[in-house]
Amino acid sequence: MKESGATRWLAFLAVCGLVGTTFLADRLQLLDGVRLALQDALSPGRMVATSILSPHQDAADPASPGERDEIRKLEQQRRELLAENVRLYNELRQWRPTGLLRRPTAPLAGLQLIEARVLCRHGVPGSLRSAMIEAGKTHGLLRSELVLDASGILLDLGQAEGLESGQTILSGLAVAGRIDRVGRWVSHLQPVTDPEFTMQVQLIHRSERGTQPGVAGIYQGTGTAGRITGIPATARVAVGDAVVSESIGGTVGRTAYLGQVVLAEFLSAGEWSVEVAPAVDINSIEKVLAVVPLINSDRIAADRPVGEQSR
Amino acid sequence: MKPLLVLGILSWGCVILEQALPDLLPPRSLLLPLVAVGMLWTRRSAGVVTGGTLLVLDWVARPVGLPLLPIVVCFLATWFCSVSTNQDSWMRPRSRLPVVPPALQPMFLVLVGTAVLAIMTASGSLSLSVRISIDFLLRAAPFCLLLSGFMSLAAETSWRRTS
Repeated sequence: MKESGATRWLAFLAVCGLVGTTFLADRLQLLDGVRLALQDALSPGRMVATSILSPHQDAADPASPGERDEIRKLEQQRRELLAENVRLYNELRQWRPTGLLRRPTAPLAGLQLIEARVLCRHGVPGSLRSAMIEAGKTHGLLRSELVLDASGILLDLGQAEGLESGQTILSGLAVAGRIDRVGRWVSHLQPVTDPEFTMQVQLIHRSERGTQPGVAGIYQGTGTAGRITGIPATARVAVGDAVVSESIGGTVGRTAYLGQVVLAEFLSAGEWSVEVAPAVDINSIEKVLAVVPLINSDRIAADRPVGEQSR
Repeated sequence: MKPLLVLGILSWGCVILEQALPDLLPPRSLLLPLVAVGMLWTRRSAGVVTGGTLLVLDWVARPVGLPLLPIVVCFLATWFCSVSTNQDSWMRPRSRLPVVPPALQPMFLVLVGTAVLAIMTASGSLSLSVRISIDFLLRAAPFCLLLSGFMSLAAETSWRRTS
């Protein structure tokens, strides 16, 4: 059956309609699920193709004779170092029972501060978004798109640097917010003023006698500032009290400044309503510090068997 | 229906290859020639719609700038399909516009598509656009010529119906 030109142009208009609808849905961030489903549909084939094609890639790019000698030397050096490592470990094991090596135990867990830059505050520019997605694709990665679509404060660190959701973000020594979504290279910061931001905090009284720890409560952002709830009416609260976080990164004993009490009122429910002015101005920060939990590798290595150490 | 199904499966394979070998094959360097040939294989509206849908799905999975590629490629494919290349063309008035020979039409689609992709990827930088285009065409052009030759051969052996 012969087809008329009008039918073909109608088909073209249908494609235009599909493109317009898709573009609109993308702007409204409705395509995230579809995008993931499409990538999932491609993943099995991609993995099979990668496993089949990778050996040929290696064969197509052989090392030069000089590089091969260098690799051989490095391999020999690695073996020698492994042997030396085993010898030293055995010596250490012999000395340990004598008590000569006994010393105060170092803490198992600590915190590491990683500096991050604020990438943008109101969504990612189109060109940067495309460039980052393209760069991700060359490494076979696409999950960063979830964060790239976010329209808040983006930091230039992600999973590659050890960031995870829920980690505290500091600006100087004050709490700026928390990581709520993490991508491969970027992460999204939920500021302390965000209505969904909550944190266990403690009040610090300031008086002529010095500073005294006060009651604990739950801090929650209000959009422009913050509010503390859960403080009983019998507790002592005053305007000017400092507000600090009860812990950082879940580690007890470490606190960070959050802000100052600017308004304290009694509620009929027998609780204080405390308004807090955060110390950090989210709109002016350019660099922040991500608090990443750290495990003392020396202590773990000391308890590891020889076979695992030399691996 | 069968050619369109084959087109969908081959497109899936092309995208997989592009993702498995990202250093060797730039994004869409295999997909664009395949879709161009697929649209002109039967020269019917179903081919245009299928090709356009595949390019839209590809944009959803791998977004780059605005989704102009499906519109431009579909427009040209529809135009080529509408311009008569059949034996009864003597009945129609001769067009003043230059007519691209059927064997070169997929290549023309790929060239225009490459230009669109390069402009959107390079964001205004001419030297970068040229570099991206050359890199893209080094892979896409031979593949497109191969598929065009296959399409012509299929038409000569009556394996492909064009009406």
